[in-house]
Amino acid sequence: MTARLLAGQAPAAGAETLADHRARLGDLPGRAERSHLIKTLEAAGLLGRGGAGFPVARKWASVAGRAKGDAVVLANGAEGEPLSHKDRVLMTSRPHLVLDGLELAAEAVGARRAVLYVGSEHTGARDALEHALAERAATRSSTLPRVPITMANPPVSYVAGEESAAVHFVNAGDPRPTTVPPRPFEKGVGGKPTLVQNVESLAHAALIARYGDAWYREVGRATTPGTALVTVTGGKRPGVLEIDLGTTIGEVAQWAGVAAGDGSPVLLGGYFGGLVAGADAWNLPLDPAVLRASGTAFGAGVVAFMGDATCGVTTTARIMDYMAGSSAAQCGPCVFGLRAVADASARIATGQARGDDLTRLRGWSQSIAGRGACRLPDGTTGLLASSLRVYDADWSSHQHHRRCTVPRGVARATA
Amino acid sequence: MSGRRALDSGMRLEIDRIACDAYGTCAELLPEGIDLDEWGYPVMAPGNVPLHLLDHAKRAVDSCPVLAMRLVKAQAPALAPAPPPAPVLASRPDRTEGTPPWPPRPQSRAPKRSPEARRRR
Amino acid sequence: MFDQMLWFVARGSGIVSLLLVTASVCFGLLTVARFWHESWPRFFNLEMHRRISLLAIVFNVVHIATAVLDPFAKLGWSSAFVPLVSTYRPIPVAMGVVSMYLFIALIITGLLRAHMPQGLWRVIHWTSYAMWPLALGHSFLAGSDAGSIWMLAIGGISLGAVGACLLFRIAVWDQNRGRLDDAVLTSSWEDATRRGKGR
Repeated sequence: MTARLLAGQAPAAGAETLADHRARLGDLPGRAERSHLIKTLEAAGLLGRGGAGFPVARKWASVAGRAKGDAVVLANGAEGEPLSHKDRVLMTSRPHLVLDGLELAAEAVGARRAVLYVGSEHTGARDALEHALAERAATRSSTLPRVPITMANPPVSYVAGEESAAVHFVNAGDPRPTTVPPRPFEKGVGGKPTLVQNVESLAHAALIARYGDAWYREVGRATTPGTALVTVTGGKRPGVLEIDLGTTIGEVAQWAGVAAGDGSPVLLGGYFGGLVAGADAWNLPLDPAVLRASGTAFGAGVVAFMGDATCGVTTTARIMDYMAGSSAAQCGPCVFGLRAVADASARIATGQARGDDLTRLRGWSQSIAGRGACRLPDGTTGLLASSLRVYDADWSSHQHHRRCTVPRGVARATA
Repeated sequence: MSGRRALDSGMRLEIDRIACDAYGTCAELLPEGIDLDEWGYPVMAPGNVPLHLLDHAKRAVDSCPVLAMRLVKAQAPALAPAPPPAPVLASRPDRTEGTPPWPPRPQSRAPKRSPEARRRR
Repeated sequence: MFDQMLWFVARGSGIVSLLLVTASVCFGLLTVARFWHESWPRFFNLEMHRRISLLAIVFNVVHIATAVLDPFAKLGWSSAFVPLVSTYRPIPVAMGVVSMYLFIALIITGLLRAHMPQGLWRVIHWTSYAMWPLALGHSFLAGSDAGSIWMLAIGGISLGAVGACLLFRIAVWDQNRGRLDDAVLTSSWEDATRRGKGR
């Protein structure tokens, strides 16, 4: 595994100081080189790491094209996905890398203001970033234009990380998604074109600015180049790992101490992701393009090993309940649809299934998506659909025979 | 389904899902394109509004007590009349599988008497 | 004879105006209360509310014009547009004047609703709770028919209709929007496990 974002001192050692950061990485490139940054990012093929995987260069270009020097950059470190820790680890241990990326983005899109959007409960990350801002204010030597950077700390919730919710919170203190259009890159914070970018994406951009696109493309084992942070749960060694994109799930399993040949399903991408069956999972490369082609998604880089001792139906039911409770309570299909899904799956999981519960669940896994203001119902029902596929036998057993296929006493949900 | 293709109006319906409060007037005035789910919220047919239903679509948009519906120009206008079952990609497509498609254009009014009956006179 | 005509038309158009505005308020309340039935489609209430409101403009204009032009009523144009300057029953006439201005605001914001902030539209529409009682009071007190049996009957019916619709609207207060929060805050898993333990 190539360490790039996490190169240097171990994350457990705490925040890298400004001095160490400069000593390790050198200065940022001069203005002439920086003026081509968006093209460099395009050549590098950097994809966003917030979950959607949208090309970073295209996002910056669309904001830059609309801004008249009055754009806003918002670094999204909300990390509302409960299974994901990578943004917190990055912000806590490499705050200067994130801030470099933020300042570079501000210059590239013509921004007059930047916001650090960090969940209010992520105190480690907030402290590290505030300390880093103070360090930079004290020793100003970069040639980057000074952009005022403020912190915004929404309550940690699933929907708060959505880009329109982030903008809404900064504008009005309300961390709930709004109706789009207009999208943030058209009209965001203060009505200005706003770039909402995940903190890991900004960190990658900060390295690409220094070392170039060819350097970025040097690693990558399948289609997509570069490295990425993944959060690994399950197994003996949970944690955040930086992988070369294209690393197989099996290799990550080895690192995590998951038993070889453990054919149990793997949850990819988190609560917004999908399940892959154990037999197919092991050789699957963690590459956004490959995963999308095979019907799942890289998402926010969560790799959760479910383990044989986990009842997939119970785990899914509990995730559905969590997602239904995470709704912003603005759109009927999401509120009532996800609640119906949660009720039915909880009934099935606890052996209280009604006659048509499983049939209705299958119907809802298709009929709710796309009918909310944000993608919460889409992601949730996507996970449901993959669970119904991967754990098909277990769902039937619970529904028709009220019997769990996992032996009693060890049935335990990982989430 | 009859072979009669529906002409594309180049417009599509958009719903503000936050403003929508399940009044259901849209589904009443445009049943060909809007169904209500079990909680009373709209499920839209995919793709652009067929030309012969555009006036009805406008009335449906006007009828919403909370102005949650809009008719917008489709991003990728069809170059040829779109056949009813094939959805045209919109920037935020509703689900495209399982939703009943827009019905085809109705046949022009049949003659009051069949040709045989007319010949017999 | 002609001068009496103006007086007749002023009274008649005023009463029709009141009935139309009453009907409009009723349909407005039924729209929000989502009243519908197999034979009373959902779109009916809002359509009627809008169309009756527009029709009421005609009768309002006729009523105001004929009342001012009527030489025996001794109302100048200023009485129709400035509250309390009328020498004839100043307060009842002023109620009509204020009601007229609110009506104009409601009509304009109603027609331009799609082009204004919805919060503003809503606040102005709430003034209908003042516009209608003022119109009713004006009808009861300002005209030469005030106190007559049938005028009282018309006023009573109007009051009853709006009262009934208002009670219905209050009775069905919490429609979908209120239930959204409740549905999010329950926990399916806790409910299911609690039920399961009870078995």
